[in-house]
Amino acid sequence: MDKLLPPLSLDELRRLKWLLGGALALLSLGTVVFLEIEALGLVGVAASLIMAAMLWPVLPSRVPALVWRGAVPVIILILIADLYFSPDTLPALIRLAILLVLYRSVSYRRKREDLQLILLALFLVVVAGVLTVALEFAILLLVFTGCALGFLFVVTLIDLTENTRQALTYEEMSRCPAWALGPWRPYIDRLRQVADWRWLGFASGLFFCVVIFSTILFIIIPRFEITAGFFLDQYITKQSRTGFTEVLKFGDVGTLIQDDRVALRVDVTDPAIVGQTPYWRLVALDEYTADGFRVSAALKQELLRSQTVTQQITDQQLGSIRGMAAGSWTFYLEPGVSRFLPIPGRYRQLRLREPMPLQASRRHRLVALRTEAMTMTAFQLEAVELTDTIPDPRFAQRLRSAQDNRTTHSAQDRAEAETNLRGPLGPVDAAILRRINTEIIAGAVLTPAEYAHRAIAWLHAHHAYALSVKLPAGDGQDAIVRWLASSEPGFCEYFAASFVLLARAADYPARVVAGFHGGIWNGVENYFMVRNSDAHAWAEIYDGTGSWWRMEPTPGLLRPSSTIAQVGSSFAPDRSWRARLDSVRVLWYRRIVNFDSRAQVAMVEQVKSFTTDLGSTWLRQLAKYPQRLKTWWTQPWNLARVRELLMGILVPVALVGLLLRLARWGWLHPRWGPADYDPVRRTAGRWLTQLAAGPDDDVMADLRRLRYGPRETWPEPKVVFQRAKIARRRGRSR
Amino acid sequence: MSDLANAAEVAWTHATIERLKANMRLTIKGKDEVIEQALICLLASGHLLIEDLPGVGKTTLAYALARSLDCTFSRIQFTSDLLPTDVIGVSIYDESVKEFIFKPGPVFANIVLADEINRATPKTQSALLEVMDRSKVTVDGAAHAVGDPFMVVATQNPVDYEGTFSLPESQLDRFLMRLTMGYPQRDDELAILRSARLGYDAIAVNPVVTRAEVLTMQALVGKIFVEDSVLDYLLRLITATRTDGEFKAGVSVRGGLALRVAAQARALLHGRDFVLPADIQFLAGPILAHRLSLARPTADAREESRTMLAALHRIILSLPVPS
Repeated sequence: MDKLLPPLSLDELRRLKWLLGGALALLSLGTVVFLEIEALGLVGVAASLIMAAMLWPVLPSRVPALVWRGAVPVIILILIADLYFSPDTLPALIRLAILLVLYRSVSYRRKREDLQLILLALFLVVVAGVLTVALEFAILLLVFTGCALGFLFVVTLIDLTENTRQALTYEEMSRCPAWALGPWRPYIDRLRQVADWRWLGFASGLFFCVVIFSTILFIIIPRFEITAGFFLDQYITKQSRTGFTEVLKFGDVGTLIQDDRVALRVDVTDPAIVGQTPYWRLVALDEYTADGFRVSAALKQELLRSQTVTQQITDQQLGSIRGMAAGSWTFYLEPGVSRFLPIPGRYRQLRLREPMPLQASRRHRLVALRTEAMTMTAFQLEAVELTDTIPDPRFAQRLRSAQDNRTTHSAQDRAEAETNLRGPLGPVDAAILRRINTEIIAGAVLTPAEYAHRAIAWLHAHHAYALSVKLPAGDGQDAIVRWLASSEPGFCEYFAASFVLLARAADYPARVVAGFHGGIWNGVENYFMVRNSDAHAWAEIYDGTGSWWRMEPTPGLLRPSSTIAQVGSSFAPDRSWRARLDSVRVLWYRRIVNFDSRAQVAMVEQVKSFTTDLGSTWLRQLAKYPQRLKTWWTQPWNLARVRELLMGILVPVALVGLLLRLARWGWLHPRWGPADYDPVRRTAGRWLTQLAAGPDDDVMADLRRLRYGPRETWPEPKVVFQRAKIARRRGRSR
Repeated sequence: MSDLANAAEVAWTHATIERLKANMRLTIKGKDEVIEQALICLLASGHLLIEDLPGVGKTTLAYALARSLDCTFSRIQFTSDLLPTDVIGVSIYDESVKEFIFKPGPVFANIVLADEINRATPKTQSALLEVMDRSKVTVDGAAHAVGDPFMVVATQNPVDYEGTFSLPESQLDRFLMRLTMGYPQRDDELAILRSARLGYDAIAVNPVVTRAEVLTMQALVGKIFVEDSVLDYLLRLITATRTDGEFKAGVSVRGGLALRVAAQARALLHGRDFVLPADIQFLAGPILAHRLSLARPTADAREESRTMLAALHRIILSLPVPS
């Protein structure tokens, strides 16, 4: 039994338990940080108290028993007050759990209290995990698992000797136990002394077993959606980052471009996309205001009307299109980017992970969630084709109705057409736009496409690209028109907005579109990585007959992360350490968060086909050998063939012999493992303990020499061990 | 290979020691363990302190050992009026050569029996410090080497305290071993009673081992192999005495070294060229007990010795043996 227990005394084990318990509590508080509920102050205070108690274990004994006695009623009072004042239940419950974890981790514990601490910490961890589904949480959970295993192990070890069923009394809580006294440094040195690679190996083995077992469970259990069962979004709102909303103020995209965080990851089954620079279209901004463009009230209404709780939508308009890519693209949209989903082109079907309130306008190719998602949003587009047109034949009618000014069409139809034609109303602005348009059109009759090309050429001729814009001063004038009239450089937003204003002034319906452009191909895990800095605004112009055409008024697109993607043929995938780090996140999304029943079935099928393929390949290969051997054997014999046969036998035999010799040498001269590791001495030691009761004869003498004697005088170990085996047998039969 | 003992040397030593043992047994009856410990002390080039009641054979043991070796032997009877010069010698002025000439004292011998060492004053006791440590005597600034081999066998009475000066710790630390004789078994005592012999001069022991042989054997002790785990075991034992609550102070580094050398000597005595943990366990009592002091003093020296040995035994039982 002595050998099974680590050579730590009971008090030293108790101190270890104290440390591990504190670490568990801190880790569970760490998960609360991801939740973003109003508890950060409380978490900070609790964490510092726990750390202080961890470092100075005598501190709890300084607290009078009365305080411990009153702690639980006070916590209950706080909960009641919290429930009364706070609008939500869940944050109050989490705050309660934090207080209880604090109470349990700063007071002395016996087994019962230790188990309570684990349960409380587990509650916090599970709640945080279910709510956030963040990668950081996964890492924290792994550490938590290791810590909890160690903690339980130490608790069990102590219980083996202590075995008390009683709970601690309040008086005992304020009495300093013996283990809490004494400095840390000698204790840590002692731990280091005791730390044994066998124990560490055993512990890590156990840890990996638990992780592997959980992984297998994760893969095989039936899928169900926990988040769908909770109504948590309303309790916990994540502070949104600067992202795309229905309103695009001037400078919004410019701010986004400075942000280097990843906004969107796209898992593409069809590698043909690699090297292209897709436009990830989020939102169409059709209404002009003095502050910038925004989604018109009509379009918002249209979206709201279409809202249904669904898991998938089919783009019926595209059902008949042939030659589309068969693969599916999976999108992982980071929280806080937008409630609009990025759509790169035509698709047959959009599928979400779970049913959600979804708004869609097929005519404008817009899909949006009801609210901005709190966690990562994953969705899949099937049969995607990157296009630069959006068919909208109905808009042609509406346009005509607006132009004819007939009453056959509803006011709503006319309003839509007018929204897409409206620009700044000031006379100065209109005059400037007219003047520029005269320059662009030069009296010719232009199709929308021809106009667009000329207008873009004009913009490129008069404005350069720059990330910072100095707007010229001007009273009462529209900012974009002022910029347009100047020769200042600008970025995408200015070019897109200017283009749209010019086109509208020339009676071509046009709108601003915002989203992302390009991205980087992550070569480590093979997916598209779109950062906030890839944010972009461009324009769409109506061709007058049936489609919106994408126009790119921004010159050069000299934005840092897209430059590689722009090069086209010399496209180089990103394999930097940042890309590597990011791919871990995608693995988490792909394999864990997004692992639904479809993925489960797909995986089982993959495994099945892989194993059957492998089996049949092996069988085919195996079947070939007897036949080959037979043909080789029946060929006429000569000296060369005899030599071949001999070599075929001798070389493997020699190799095996050499390997055996090497292994024996390694056994006698161990070069690995700790300095005192010696397999021969170890085996001899084992035999000595086994034969201790037997007669003290030559075998024992030889075993003693192998165990304690100089290596140079050793008898042949194998022979001695064989003799020991015989001696044991004799001893048994006697 | 040269730093390890070879089998032939070890076998020869074993045979020689057996011869010596047999010779001593003729005089010392039924005390094989004590004889063995005394011989270990001799092989390890250490000094021996025999502590027991009067008349149990302390001096006889010293005589038997000294006379079994072909070495010079001298006996000093320690009394309260003994002077340091009586032990180590004195420089006297020689008129014929007109200079001081050193007259060596009784300490200039191979085996020195310091009988009833605690009866001498601390000053005289301390005269032995240098010679026991370095086998040298310094008189008037000139160092004089004593015999080689050199071994002090001291005896003292643990019960009779009247007019004694107990040995200081520094002096005790210089003894490799402290032994107790104990009463002989009934049959052995009967045999002693039957023998006609009376007085030390009647001890008819012939030398069986030469001085050179003793030196060779002593040199061989250092070549006995101590495996790392055994050394570690020794170290753990020493460390345990330093942390154990029962002792005022643990064993010194010299104590640890002494235990190692003694364990090597015991291995050689048993005809082995390597040390076993059993050697250390066997020798822990005789080597370490007199180097430790108890945190709670006891009534008399015998009680102290018993408590000390019990504490050491407890430590040995608690330490896992390398296996």
